[in-house]
Amino acid sequence: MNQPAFSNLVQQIRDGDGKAMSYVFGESSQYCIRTLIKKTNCDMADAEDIYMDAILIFRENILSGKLKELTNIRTYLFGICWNLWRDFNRKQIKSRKEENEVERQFQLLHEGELEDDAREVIQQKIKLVTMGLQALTDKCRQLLTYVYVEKRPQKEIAERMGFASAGVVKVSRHRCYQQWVKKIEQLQTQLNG
Amino acid sequence: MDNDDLILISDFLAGELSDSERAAVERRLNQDEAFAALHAQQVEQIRLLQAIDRAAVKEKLKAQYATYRGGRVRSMRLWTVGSAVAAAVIAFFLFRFLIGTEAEILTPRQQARAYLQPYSLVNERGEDSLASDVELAYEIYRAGDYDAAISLLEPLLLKMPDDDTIRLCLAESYSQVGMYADAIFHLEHLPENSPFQDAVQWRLALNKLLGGEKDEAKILLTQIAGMDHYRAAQADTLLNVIDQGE
Repeated sequence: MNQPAFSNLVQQIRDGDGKAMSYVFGESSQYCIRTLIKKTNCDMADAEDIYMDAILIFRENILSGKLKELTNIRTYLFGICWNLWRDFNRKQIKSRKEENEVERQFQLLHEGELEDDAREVIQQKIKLVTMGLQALTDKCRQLLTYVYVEKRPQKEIAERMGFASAGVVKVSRHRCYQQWVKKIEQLQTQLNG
Repeated sequence: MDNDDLILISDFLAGELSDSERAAVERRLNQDEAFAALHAQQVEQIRLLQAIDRAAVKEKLKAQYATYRGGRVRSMRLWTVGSAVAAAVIAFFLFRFLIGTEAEILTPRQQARAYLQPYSLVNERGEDSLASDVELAYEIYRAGDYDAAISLLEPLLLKMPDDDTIRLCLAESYSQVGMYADAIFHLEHLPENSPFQDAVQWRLALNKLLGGEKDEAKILLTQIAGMDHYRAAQADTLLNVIDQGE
């Protein structure tokens, strides 16, 4: 894939253009899924799930600017698929550092594998975080997502959101972040009675 | 909660501190319990935010992928109807041209490729014996999307290892995408008493020739040419082409 084509793809993904993903699926899905099944004997459902996780990582790497050039989409994506399969097989998800414990619990909740007590705890935490976000303005929500989830560069955030500079992004982020955290604290206090 | 500490941690987690600032925060995390507790709380909230967003994005991507796959199958069906007649006409004239033209000299591989038409899956099974996955795989095979057919047929064969039709379609699919070794593997794993045995023998010979196993291909072709086999004439032609090429 030449650089102009890659830059175009990156721009489409950053803009949330659905055509970009259709292109990526077309270039890589058959190869990745077929090769995963052939090499690992996993079933179609697992292969597709791994492929979707790989696509997520690919998207995150594009949004954060981590992926700066790419010669072959299918081999890059298959590499991610292979690493995910290997990690899953070695149960490395369960042996991650403690700071990822909440992600592990979220995953287990999603799979229905949490005990009742643990399930209630994580569901409450999710509720607080989500309600805290919902209390923010759309602009604040978008800003926090760009910074903490998608990890987009400051300059891009400023351009997309119409801020005058990266400095203004920072000030707005501080304000939005404080509002979010304070809202979560209020909700927690209400719940605790 | 100290507001300045909250802002500092938010900058730390956003990756916006300089190296020296980062190092100072990391030292403080090791020394100041209250600061470390606030940091841990913020990390947890942000990780939850990331996990919630990731789950939502994954669902959207899955929906997009399902739309993409559905579009491919539908367009394959439309393409198949329109091009089946054209392909048959072209194949007919190509076949006549290749076989009937004495002056045309083909290499053994070219001749074998000309003979290697995909096995025609004509016998429809009753609905009670087919899961939707198998039907989809056959549909995609008939449409000529052999890469996709492989990705569907492989796991089906794992579940139904004694199903000759699945194995034959898989072998044909591998053959059509040029993976002759895989095609040979599956053809050789079809039982000798299978109803497709004549077709299997012929296809095995072609795949061995295309896969570089010329001596073994010649043995098979010689057997076919000397039998009451529906491809005896073509086997004889191919043997002549191989001999001319040597």
